[in-house]
Amino acid sequence: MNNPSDISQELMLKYLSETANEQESKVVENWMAESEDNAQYIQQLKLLWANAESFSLLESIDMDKNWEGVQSKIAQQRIGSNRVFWRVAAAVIFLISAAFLAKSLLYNPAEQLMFTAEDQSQLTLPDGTLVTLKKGATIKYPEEFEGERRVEFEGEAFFDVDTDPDKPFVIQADDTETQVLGTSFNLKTATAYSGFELVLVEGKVSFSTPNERVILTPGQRVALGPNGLLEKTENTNQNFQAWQTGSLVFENAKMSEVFEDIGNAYNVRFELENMSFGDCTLTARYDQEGLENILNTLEILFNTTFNQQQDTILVSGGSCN
Amino acid sequence: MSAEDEIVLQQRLSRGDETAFQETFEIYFKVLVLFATKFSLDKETAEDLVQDVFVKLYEQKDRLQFHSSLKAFLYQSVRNKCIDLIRSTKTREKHHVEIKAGTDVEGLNSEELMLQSELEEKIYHSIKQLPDQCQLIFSMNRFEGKKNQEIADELNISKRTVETQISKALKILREDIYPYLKTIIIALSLWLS
Repeated sequence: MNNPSDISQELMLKYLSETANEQESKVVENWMAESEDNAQYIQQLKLLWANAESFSLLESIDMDKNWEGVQSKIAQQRIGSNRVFWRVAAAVIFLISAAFLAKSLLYNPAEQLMFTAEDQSQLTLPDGTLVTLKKGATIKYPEEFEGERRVEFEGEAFFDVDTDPDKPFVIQADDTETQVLGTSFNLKTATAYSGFELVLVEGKVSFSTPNERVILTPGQRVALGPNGLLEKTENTNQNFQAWQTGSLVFENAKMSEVFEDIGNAYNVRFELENMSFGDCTLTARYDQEGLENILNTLEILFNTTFNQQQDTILVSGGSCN
Repeated sequence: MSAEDEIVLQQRLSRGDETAFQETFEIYFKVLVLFATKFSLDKETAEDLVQDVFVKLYEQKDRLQFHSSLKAFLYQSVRNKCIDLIRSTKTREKHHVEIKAGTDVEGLNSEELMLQSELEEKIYHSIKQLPDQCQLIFSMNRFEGKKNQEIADELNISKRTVETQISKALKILREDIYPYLKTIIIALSLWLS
């Protein structure tokens, strides 16, 4: 729509700037009432007029000055975080010169997180590595990996390590180190009842103690032998992952081994009253059965009874069928 | 700025493109300061606060993809900072910031304030596009509050020319803003009347 010619510009400007007297306003209002178009036209001009007020404010904002303001604030934040870094660095230097600090405290300046599995749980590390932790296992890892991916570990867990050839994944457990380059394996640190064990599922890992180093290929297992030396063998135990998968398979397995596997899967320990029972054999398959069901079937099969006290199960009787 | 342009800008920002950050600043800084002043902040406080929002944007730009849009992120951040500031200032009894009496933080409709700020900024850009004399006369009348006769005397032109120039300015502005006005006139005319 064009500027209406039937209303004077002077009058309209007076009306907009609210300097029109009563009579003049009346003329504009009457004109507005003449048609919908007129009314809309004035409405739009009013809106424009009122909202143009911010012109002076917008015009007075100095973009260069404010851009500098933003830049210097960003720079300040960086200096701020550097200052924290220097404070940490100063403290570290002091402590080194004092020579009292444990190595582990200095190891990684990044924030360390610690997770202890109260139940079997899965954890994704910052690099995407998936760790399935058995009940009671503890893992310590930085909030963010810088360079080498290093974690501290105790207990038993299945590691599915995300491939990254440039950043080796290192697991520190007791005084051993497992170095991996994208792989999955089951790692168990020593407990009072069983020794240290690593079973490789796929990929390649290097396992080392302060004195020895072995390289594992899939299907191999390494454990700390009674003489304190590493023993590398083919893994014959199908049940090493049972705690995680819930499935146990026995083929003509000696009962002593059966009890060891069940014990490992369910975090219990068996004590045989009748040692010869350990030589009986079992062929069976249990899928997500639960400890109680498994023990019930064994009671029937071998005419035996189980008595659980905390995490120890006493096995009475038992005869080969 | 079209929605697609904004998505592209947001993507460039999250990739760490430094020029994208500066472009975002050029596009949004003024209108955000204007928006902040709607919360009754004075200009300096508003500028300082919006600077902080850009610092936040700079730090979080790699996480920007988690926000619905760049524009929403900016307006929301400004709004939240304004409300925080007003609350803390009120409790500290007007320490640093002059808050206009009766600012009811909860009663403010930020969406309406956002629309209004955007409209005002569009008008600002349109005024900047006006021919020089037209712009000058319009500003003298509208922003310096000068009477048409005063402007005529000052510029040594007739009062009628002044009136024609102001009307011309209004006509150009109205045509410029019209598509935008049409969409928001209902929302804002209620507020204006």
